[in-house]
Amino acid sequence: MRLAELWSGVARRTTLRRYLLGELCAEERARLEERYFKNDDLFEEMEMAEDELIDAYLRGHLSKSESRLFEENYLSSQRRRHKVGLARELLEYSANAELPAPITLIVTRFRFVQLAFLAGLLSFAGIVGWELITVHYRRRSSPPARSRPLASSESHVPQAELPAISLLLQSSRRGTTGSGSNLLTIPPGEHRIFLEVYPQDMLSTRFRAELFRRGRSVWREDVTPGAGQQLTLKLHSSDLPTGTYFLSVIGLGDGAKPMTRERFGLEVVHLGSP
Amino acid sequence: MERMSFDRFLLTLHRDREEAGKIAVDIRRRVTTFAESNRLPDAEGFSDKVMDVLEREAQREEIRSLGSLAHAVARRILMEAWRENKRAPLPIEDGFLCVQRAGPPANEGLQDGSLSERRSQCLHECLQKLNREDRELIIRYHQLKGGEEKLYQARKKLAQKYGIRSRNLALIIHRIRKHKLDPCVVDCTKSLSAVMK
Repeated sequence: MRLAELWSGVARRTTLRRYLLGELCAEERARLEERYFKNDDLFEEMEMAEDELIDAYLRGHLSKSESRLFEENYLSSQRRRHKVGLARELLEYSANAELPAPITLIVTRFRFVQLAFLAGLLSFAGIVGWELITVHYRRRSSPPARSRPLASSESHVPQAELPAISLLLQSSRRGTTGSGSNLLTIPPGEHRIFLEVYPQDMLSTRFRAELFRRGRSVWREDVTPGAGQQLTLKLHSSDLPTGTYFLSVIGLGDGAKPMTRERFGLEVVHLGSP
Repeated sequence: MERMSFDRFLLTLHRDREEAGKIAVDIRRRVTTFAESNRLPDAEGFSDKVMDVLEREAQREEIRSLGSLAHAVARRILMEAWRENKRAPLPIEDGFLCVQRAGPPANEGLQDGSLSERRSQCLHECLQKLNREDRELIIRYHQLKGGEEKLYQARKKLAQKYGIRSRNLALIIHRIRKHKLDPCVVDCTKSLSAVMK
């Protein structure tokens, strides 16, 4: 981890802790609130900071002034008081609990590593096998394969003459694989495909959209948002064979440095295809 | 919220009802945190109000960014409360935005004997419901003792045993508590309280 990242993480956690203790000024508070409503990761970090703050309070690790702020400002609701009560019970329970010797941890880890390795090996073999089968099938049944999927602008048929299909993509929740949340059905024939996306990032003036299938990048484009921060991704039906995809949308701020990332699941089905 | 109307609201959040429920719970959690941090005495009531407005908005038009909308609605209701409070000032203890400088005692609700007993009983039951790995991990993590620096090093060591970084260990602990342990204890405590009534 770079020093700058480490520092920004520490600074962020300090801000979150000060927010929970009621130490931030109104302006700082409003700015943070706006951000945590939009940003899942930031809100989770805030909840973690809350757990850590409660733990520090119960263990007597807070300074005198922090303890005072905790009692005066943090413990302002029944929910929070219950949370602190539960954390106290958990500490007491754990202190008296007996567990098997620590060696079980290493065994668990060893098993986990073994299983992860095995799963990785099987996935790799599956992917390679599938790729070999599809390459073989394409060579037999199609005209010479393209080295990469055609972007919409490179299609054989003039784009304006093709029928168009639009789909507004709903954001996938964190922790999902991104599959199945948006369904695109493509009728037989060639079509222009417009995927519309509304990223939560309202500040970036440039975005990088990248489609992944089976963990591999299959299409990428840098796009500028339109009115209402709408992104329209223009593809061709041949860019999207039947399958499960996820679209990664990276906000680039007003430069090239990635600022935000969102995922959109996409299930593509070609009607009439075997 | 009316059941039918709420179902429609969920459908606008996600086509899968379970996923939609998670999104609604998650956004409500943010609203509650917002209310608590703005020192509103009835954070749950405030959250109900915001969720009602979001539900009505969802009937009217498609919600493109639930987070942004929820924040805007929460801000608006907070401002309205401030204005109302100015127009009809209430005694400071009862005011919607009363600053509880004296504050509730730190142990209010924590050392209520019967509540504490119920919570302890529920915690024990809920820990047994966790799978073995989660239960062991959470107990080991909370068993660690010492001053700040010693505790930090002990957590780091524990994380190393699991082959992860200490920040990720804290995240795993947080998620076990948030998604499994805490909701179980809350439900259990409520049902025990109902039985005792």
